[in-house]
Amino acid sequence: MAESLAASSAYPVVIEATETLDNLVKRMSNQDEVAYIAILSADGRVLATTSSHEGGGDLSKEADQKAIMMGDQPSTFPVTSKTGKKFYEAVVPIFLKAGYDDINERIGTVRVGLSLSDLQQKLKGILWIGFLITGVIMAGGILAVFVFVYVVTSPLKRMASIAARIAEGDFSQRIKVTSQDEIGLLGASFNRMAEKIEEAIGWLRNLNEELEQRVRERTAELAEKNTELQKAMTYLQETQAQLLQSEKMAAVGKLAGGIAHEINNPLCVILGFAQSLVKQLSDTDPQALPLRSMEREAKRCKYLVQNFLAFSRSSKGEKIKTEVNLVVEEALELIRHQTAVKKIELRQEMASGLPPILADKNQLQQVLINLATNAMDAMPTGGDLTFATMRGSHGDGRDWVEIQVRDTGCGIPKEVHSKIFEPFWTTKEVGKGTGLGLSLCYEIAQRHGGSISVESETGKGTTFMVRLPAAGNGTRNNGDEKNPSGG
Amino acid sequence: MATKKILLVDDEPGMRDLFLYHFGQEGHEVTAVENGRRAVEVLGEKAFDVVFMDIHMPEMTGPEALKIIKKRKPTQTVVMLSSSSDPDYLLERQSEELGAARWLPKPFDIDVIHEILTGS
Repeated sequence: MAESLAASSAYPVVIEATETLDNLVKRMSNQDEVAYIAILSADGRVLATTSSHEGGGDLSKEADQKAIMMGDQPSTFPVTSKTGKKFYEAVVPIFLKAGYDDINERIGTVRVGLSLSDLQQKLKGILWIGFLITGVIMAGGILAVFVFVYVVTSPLKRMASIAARIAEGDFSQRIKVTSQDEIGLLGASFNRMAEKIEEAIGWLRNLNEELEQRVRERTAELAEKNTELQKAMTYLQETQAQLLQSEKMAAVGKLAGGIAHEINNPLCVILGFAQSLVKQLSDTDPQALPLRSMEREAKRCKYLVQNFLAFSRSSKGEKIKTEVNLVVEEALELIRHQTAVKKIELRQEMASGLPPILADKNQLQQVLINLATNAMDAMPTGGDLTFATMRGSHGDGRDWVEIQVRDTGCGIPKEVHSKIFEPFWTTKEVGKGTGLGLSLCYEIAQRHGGSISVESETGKGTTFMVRLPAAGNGTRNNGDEKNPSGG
Repeated sequence: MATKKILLVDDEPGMRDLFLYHFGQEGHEVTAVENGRRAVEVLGEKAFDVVFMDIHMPEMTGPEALKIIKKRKPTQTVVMLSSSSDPDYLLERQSEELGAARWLPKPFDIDVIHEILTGS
């Protein structure tokens, strides 16, 4: 500003056209920040000045000196008036450019004083505006940031909350996708993921159900198998025990065979002599009694030996013609001692003239002994045990022989009649009975072409009936007449 | 009953005593030997109505002796006596095949012997 004034006032200064200079000054001082303007001549006289300036007169001198000191260059420097106001002065020497030569003669000085306070105010104003603008911008920016953040994060927060809900287990939640931008994409991906998870969870649940179902089935199967296994195990153990028993029995059998053999000889002699003497005596002879006793007891020994032998040998199951009554009698002898001890009265009701049957004597005796033992167990305080034989017929025209074993014991309730012949069925405590006895009897009866049945009621005693077909019923005849009935 | 000639073959002295005593008392002629070899010898010398022979004997078993006897005297009635109670015994079976008239287990009723004697 000062420079332009200097330039434009150059000529007027030379000619000292003060009016022009004044106008110039006036014009320039209209600018706001101009506090004073002074145009000085070369010797320091004030040629034009603004109407109001403070301490102009003083200034001129100072300035002049300074200007002189400053040389030919324009310069600026701060000035403080006596009143403390601050100004910024620009001092520009005026040069007259002589047309054609390069000589610049200094003809004056322009001094433009800018009110620093004005300036400052202006500056402040500018600063304030600047601040304001900055502030607004910042605020705007911050707001924008907040908005931006909000815009970005709120969907994210929503997503997060939905994700949280999904995590809690509600897989049906979905994010509302409201935009096509990255957030929207994220949301869409999220939804897809949620879908997939839902599917997967559903799938897993089904699988789980299936698996649980299978596990249940398998467990049931296993439980079944386990029961079967246990049964098989028990059966195996029993069979093992039986086998062991059989082996022992076989060994004993051999031994028994030898012993029986040895005993039979002296027995024959004893019996023979006893019978011989009995024949020689009359019934009234006092020695008849002792001799008859000897005869009887010798015979009893014979039965005992036979039965012991029969029992201690494994039965081969071969059937030969057998007299039922004999078999029953022998069985009776075997248990006679036991019944006496248990206060059980032993009775027989044997029919005569029964047809022979085809049977394995050992097995038949096993049946009778078994039935007798059961009967004895049913009468712990004593009772009656009856063996009976009779002719029977099944109404099919064939001849049958029936053996009955009757007791006056506690009886068998009607509900279990069909079960007692099942293997492993027993009312006895563990270890006291395998429950195989009656099932074996059943089997043996079957094997002989016959049957076994029971009549009983609780508290009314029990009768077991064993029915066997007579030998002459068209079955093969072994022709073996040497059944041990001789004697 | 008429007097019968009885031959008992048994290694048991008691059996021999029994037969000699009882059937002697009853009026029969009883010869008792203790093994099969002797029996064959005696049978060569005399004739008997019935031969009662034990099965289980040392030196020569009943069946073995039976074979020889049957060869020499096919019509001889021989009753085998066995002290085993088991009809399945091999030797007992053999006797039947070899032609024994009967097989009798010990101990037996004397009456059975009487029956046999009556029938012979």
